[in-house]
Amino acid sequence: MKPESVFSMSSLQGFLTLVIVCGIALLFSIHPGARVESLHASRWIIPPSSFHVVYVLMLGLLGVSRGALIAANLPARIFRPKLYAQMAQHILVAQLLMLPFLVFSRSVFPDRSGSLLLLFVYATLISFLFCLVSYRLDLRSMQRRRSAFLLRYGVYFACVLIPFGLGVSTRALSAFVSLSPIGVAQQIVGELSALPLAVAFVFPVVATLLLLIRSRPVLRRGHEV
Amino acid sequence: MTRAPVVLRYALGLGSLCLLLISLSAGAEIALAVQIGIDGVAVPDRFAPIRVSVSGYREPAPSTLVVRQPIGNEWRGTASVSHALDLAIQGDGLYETTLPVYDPINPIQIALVAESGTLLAETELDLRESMRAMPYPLLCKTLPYIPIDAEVADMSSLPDQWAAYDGLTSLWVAAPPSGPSWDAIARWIVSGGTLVVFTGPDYFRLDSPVVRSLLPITNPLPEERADGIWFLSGDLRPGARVLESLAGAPLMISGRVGAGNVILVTVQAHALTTEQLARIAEITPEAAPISLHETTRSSLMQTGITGPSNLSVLVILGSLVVLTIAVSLIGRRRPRLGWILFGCLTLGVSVSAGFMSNSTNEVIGLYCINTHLHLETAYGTHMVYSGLYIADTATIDWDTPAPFQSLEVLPRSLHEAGERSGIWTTEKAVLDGTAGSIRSFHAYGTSAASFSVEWMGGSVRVDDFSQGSFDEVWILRDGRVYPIPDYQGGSRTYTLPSEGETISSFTMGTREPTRLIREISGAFELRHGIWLIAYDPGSERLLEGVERGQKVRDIKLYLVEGRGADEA
Repeated sequence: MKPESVFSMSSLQGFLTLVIVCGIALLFSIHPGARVESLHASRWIIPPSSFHVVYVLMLGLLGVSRGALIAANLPARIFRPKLYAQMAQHILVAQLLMLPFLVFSRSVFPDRSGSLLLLFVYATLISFLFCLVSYRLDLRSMQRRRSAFLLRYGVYFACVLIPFGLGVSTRALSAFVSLSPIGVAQQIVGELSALPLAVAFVFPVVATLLLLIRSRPVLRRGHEV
Repeated sequence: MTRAPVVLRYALGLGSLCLLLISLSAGAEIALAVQIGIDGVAVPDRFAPIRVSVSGYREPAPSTLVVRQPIGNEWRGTASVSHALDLAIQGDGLYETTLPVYDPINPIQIALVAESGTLLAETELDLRESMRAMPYPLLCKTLPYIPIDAEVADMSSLPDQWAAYDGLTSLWVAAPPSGPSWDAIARWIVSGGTLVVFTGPDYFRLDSPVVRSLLPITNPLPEERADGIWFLSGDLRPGARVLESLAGAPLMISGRVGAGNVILVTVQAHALTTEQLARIAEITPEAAPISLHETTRSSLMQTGITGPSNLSVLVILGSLVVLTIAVSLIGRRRPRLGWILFGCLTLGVSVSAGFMSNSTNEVIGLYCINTHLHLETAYGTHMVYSGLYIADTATIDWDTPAPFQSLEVLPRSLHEAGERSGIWTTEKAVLDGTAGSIRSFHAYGTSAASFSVEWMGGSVRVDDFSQGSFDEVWILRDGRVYPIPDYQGGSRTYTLPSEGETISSFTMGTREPTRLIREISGAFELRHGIWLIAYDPGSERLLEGVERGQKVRDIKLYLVEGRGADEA
């Protein structure tokens, strides 16, 4: 079986979804009014940072779907570096597609080029992490001949929503916000502070490293040694 | 233990105690005695004079007075505002300036703060007993009749800044105020104040160039009639009218001065009965300060938003969709070409997106319109009306448009009005803005003469020292409007069209000046005399070096009283 290509139909669908959803988010992040009068009269409640949140979430989701696709189309024998390179290739394409939106979003958050760079790195990290998680979950499910669809998306949304919900519900648990991609995206484009940011990056980095170290070489589809 | 160390210890202890007492007494030396309002009477949401007497001042450097005013209550919502007064306290003495007063029901705290930020002295002022809820008439204390809603004051202690009269509906003068106070009163009248002046034989004491310029008569001359009553007689000015007569002679003459009214009572107050004085109180119009808040707000609402365009996003989105599909189709057959195309095209779209975003590389947190009204009669006043739209929830440093204290027009409810943090100076106010809120301010000051206008028959000579850039300039003569189509600035003589239009039928250029002129023509008597109106729309400027961008426009309107060639 050939490895999943970035030019395949399923990849095209994934990238198009990413582009359209993020484009719409950016569109709605910008108030359509031309004069102060329209700005004052309107009930526009979508904050400008919504694009950045959607961008991080969609990159994460893309990672989940890419992980599953790569697992499903895994060749009989593939070396680990090549497998990871394949994952990175998909994420790189997605990030390149997002580059025009990110560049344009400087007009929504000027003087924040550093923040956008951080967001770019964070989104890449999250996407790669969930690509790995999804890949491993799919492989395990294949061994048990079960569908991993609900599991992989359930895990993703649990990782996104549970820490965020905990963080915003109680002041005592506000540190949990830094574990959710939603909270991190808001922090990066909002008020940057060192500690939450460090937590936000350390957690996915450690999780990714653990997954990389603990993974075994793949010999054939659905069977890890 | 030996005796010597015990004595030493006691001596040291006593010395320390003495030092402590000395330092305490030195620290408590500075005393502040503060009075806010004319004779201690202040009105909410108006400017008021503040007099601070400082004694025991020993600081080497000048200090600042900071006035903190709590505003509102639980029902209305609460806020507070602190002003650093434009006074440099350098020694003992009496210091006087004008302060915006918001809510004198709450105690006002006054602190003297050293350059280093050390608190040198502080005091608290409770104005609940003496404040007035609404503007009131202020009477000279020698008058024999006091209307129920009036206050009395010694004319010699009136303030020297015209904004300090903001809390009055009318000022009744029967004894001469000081020279600077007369000047301030004249500016207040020009800006919409009302003066009632009692003369008769007292005119000899009151007479001054300022009084003569304000009276609705020319050539004033006190005369004793057969019944022994002294009347002030003279020739009526254009537009002046006799309101009441006594024994065939005019008793009350009313005239317009700028946007204000002067009522001349031709006899001295003691020659009038209580009924006659009550009648004067009845027909005296209340002061009506000029307000350009509505016009400023309209201009603010028409201000264009600076920001990225949705159309640009649609263009980028469309380009990316086409690019993704095209590259995917090509890449399936020829992956290498697909990659090359993908790299080149995404970079191309990114660069285009960069160009699109560069045109609006500034997020605007504050949109501000300042309307400057310069009234240049014999007494120049400068009024500034500011309208602010806060686009972003953030703390904003707002550079005030004129070097005077600005008074904010507060909403009735303060629950959603946003805080007033920091210490406001004559240069800067710190606003904790709530996104989507509108804030209005006004400030009153004086204006130096920037124009000289002389009517010369069919032409007019204009000496313009303002260095303004005027879009539209008009000459008004006895209610007829003559536009100057090619205004050059500097000193020039302009030939005017033979027939001008009446002010009521004339539409002055674009909508904004028309609105402004309509608003002030209601307050001013422009149907008499020679006036020059110059309108500078200002250009929008983006303030840089602030965390959130600010888009500011200063509209300037000059209203200058000219003179005929014979008056020159």
